Amino acid sequence: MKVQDSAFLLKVKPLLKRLISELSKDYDYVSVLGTDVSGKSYSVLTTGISLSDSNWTERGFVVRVFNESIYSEYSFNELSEENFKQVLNNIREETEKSLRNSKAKGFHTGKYPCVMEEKIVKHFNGDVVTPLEFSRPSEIIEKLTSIKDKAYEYTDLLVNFMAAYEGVTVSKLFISPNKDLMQSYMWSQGYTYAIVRKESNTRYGYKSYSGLKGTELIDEMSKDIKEVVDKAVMLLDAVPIEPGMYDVICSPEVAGLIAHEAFGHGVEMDMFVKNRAKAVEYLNKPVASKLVEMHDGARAAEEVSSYLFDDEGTLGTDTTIIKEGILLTGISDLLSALKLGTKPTGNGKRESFERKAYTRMTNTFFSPGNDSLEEMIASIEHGYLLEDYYSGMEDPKNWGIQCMIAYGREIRNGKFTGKIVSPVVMTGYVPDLLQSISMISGELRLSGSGACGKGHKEWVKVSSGGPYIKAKARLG
Amino acid sequence: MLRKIKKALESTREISDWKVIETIKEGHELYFIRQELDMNRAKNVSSYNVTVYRDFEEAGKKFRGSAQTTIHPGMSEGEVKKRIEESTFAAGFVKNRPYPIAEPSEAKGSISSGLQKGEISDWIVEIASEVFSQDTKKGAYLNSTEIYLTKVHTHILNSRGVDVQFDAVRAFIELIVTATGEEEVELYHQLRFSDYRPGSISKKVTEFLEEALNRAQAKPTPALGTAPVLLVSEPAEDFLSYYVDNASARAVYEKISTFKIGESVQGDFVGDGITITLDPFMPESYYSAPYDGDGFALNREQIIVNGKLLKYWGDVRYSHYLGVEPTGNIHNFSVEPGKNTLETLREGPHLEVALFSAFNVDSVTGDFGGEIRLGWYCDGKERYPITGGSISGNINKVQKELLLSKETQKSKRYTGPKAVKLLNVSVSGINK
Repeated sequence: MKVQDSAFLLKVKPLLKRLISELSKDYDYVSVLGTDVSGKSYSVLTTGISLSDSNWTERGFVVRVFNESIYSEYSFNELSEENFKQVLNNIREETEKSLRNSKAKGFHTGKYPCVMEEKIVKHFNGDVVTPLEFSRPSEIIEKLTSIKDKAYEYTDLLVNFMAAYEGVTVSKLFISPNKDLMQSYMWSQGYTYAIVRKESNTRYGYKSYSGLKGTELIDEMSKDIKEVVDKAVMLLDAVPIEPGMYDVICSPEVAGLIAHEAFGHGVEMDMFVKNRAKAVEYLNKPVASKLVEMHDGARAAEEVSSYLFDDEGTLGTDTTIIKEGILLTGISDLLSALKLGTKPTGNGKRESFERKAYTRMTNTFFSPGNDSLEEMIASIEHGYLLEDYYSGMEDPKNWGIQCMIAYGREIRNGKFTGKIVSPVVMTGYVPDLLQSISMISGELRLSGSGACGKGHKEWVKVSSGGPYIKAKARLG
Repeated sequence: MLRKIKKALESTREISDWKVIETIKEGHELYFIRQELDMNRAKNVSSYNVTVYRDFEEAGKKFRGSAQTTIHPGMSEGEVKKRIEESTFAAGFVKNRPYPIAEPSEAKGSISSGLQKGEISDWIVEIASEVFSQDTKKGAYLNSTEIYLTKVHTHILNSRGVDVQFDAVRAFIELIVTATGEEEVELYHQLRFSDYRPGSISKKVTEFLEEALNRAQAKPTPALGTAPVLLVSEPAEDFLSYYVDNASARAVYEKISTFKIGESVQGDFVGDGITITLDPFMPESYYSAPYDGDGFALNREQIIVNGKLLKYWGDVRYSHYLGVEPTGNIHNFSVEPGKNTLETLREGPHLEVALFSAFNVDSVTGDFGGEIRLGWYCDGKERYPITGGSISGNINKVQKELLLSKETQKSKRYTGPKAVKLLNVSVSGINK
């Protein structure tokens, strides 16, 4: 079923066009992004139910103008015939104030060229099986409750269980003198989360789900309840890992985290502009084993960050970042590309209309290889299969990596021993880790639950993934 | 808009109670690369967060359902009514144990900020000038800086007569500091505050530049196996926040926490006992507020004394479920300092960590850990900066012997010991 455009954006579009036309008299470049993102978030726990609008809900506008030599922006969320003149004045005055004051204090400004755009008119409506508005709240709550109740059939150790679903409809409009773009699509994410306790030992297991899907995602969630409960129970017997270097097999989720933290953040080209990216020194040089190919792009995969255009009106692409171990290029927002003299890749994303656009990842993943998981396990003398993760952190300047992994299954002489280590902190120097990749499996799995920050803020939806990969890593 | 919302709420028969939070934000933002202004932004936005509560009975059992929704400015009366009716309908399927909402109460204190006086577009440039005033060091510099200054007006109303308003200014600075050693290195920092004390930012910037120079000289973290570890600065705050998280009524009700009133939260400890007070009025804190999100008037609350849990903290709903007096949700905490000076805590071989890539403290399991961006290793004689590798452990296993420093620090939501010393922490290093 086609996802419908926002009636609000369609209604306000003539006013936005007028705004562009008026502002174009004062500025050499003007654009406006209008957003109408709506959604619902449902959580059913043993101890209660919650229902709220999605945290991704937003409705508003951001105007960008070329202000002599830099770009200035103004975010607002009320526009009507009645306040049109006031908004116009606010844009002119508020974008001037801090710029004028900064210059008066002696600050110099950056030097950007003016955006040159070709004429593009495009419209995209995504498809889902069941849009959120076609599912009754009672039906969603009943399904999540049934998942929660089922979990209690598998163990007496559960102290709480959560089944959560979030469905979000994204509608965005981008207008500039040469561009008229509109897109509407829906994504969903879900979690099942089991907390178990034995005496004072508390552990949890989880599984996440995501995709360009509607409420049909909840049916997927109902298939793995036992797996989530078993995982939590298994972790009750986990032991700390002996720190050291190990042969590891990373699950597609952990491989995705590595792709995201290791090279995704490292090739965000706004970091090139700030001289914060070590990757600049390695363009067209080997950074990984010859087996490694890595992509990012809104058009590279069908997941939560697949779209027609980014938040600066650049069409989404598929960027091959690494091919046969060679670092080919980075990913870029519009302004960084202007500064660097490169082509934007459709990676300019905002947390919301209230925030600045930065270079951000979309769907980032390692391409599949030719090995099988069984062969990979059999090849390990002593090491771990690493599964699930809690978080990761980038270090674009120095290529450090931090991955907080949920657990590892010990492998000795090509077989699982049954020993579980948890939690596991995987650290290291990114090229060492990527150069050590020696086997890659044939499957490709992406996951887009949660959110990605830049530094410790600016949360956006991304997906990441890959096949199983075998590498050497420092675990602690 | 508030009038439209109240009209719709009061005309929807099935609503038992309601709450509205109006937020109006006016902000300015400056983005610098080195000392050059790269972009300026401004914003003027408002939002209306509405919660409807609906009481109902099923098979003789009473429930209170709720649903939260966002009303956008400019929505018509019809749109507002439709959204509220849809939320009310949905709330009828949310089967939660009944609970009350906040009743009107007098503020127990206030928050103030010098930044309220004058234009924030002027203040932000003042702040920028101070940030860069110390950016003159040899070998280290501010690579990029983002400054956000936002005036926030909050108005909370509910169907029980709560009608409170307060103003705050939230300041946020992100700083990337680069230093040159064998190769260039960088460190990431954030500052959050709600009042401006001239000189405080430049003091921090000086520290940050010094730390970056230290990282530029750092050696790889040695592979120690286990070692005494001193967490200093923000990691100390993050570590101690575990006790605050687990003292929350919600965490206890949801069985995430096993903390019990009157019992030790540190087990049979032989080190320092922790004493924690929640302080909604902490000066300069980014999170200070006279009321919580329910419009409940906040006050200072001591929750843990010498390792023993005195009371749970929490909002009206979860406190009601546990049968305890609500304190409201308070986001600042202070911890009593320990008896030992930092110098004493640094005696003997140890690892000291000031900056992680991200220090993770899992409030459910007690696991903690992270990759080291900057620390110092002391073998008992020599002390030198280190980087790389990681530490990991579990609070339940190390809290018995933890020691707090006498020296204190102040951050976005915390005042308390500058350092926490832990024994037998696992250290994954790079070489012997």
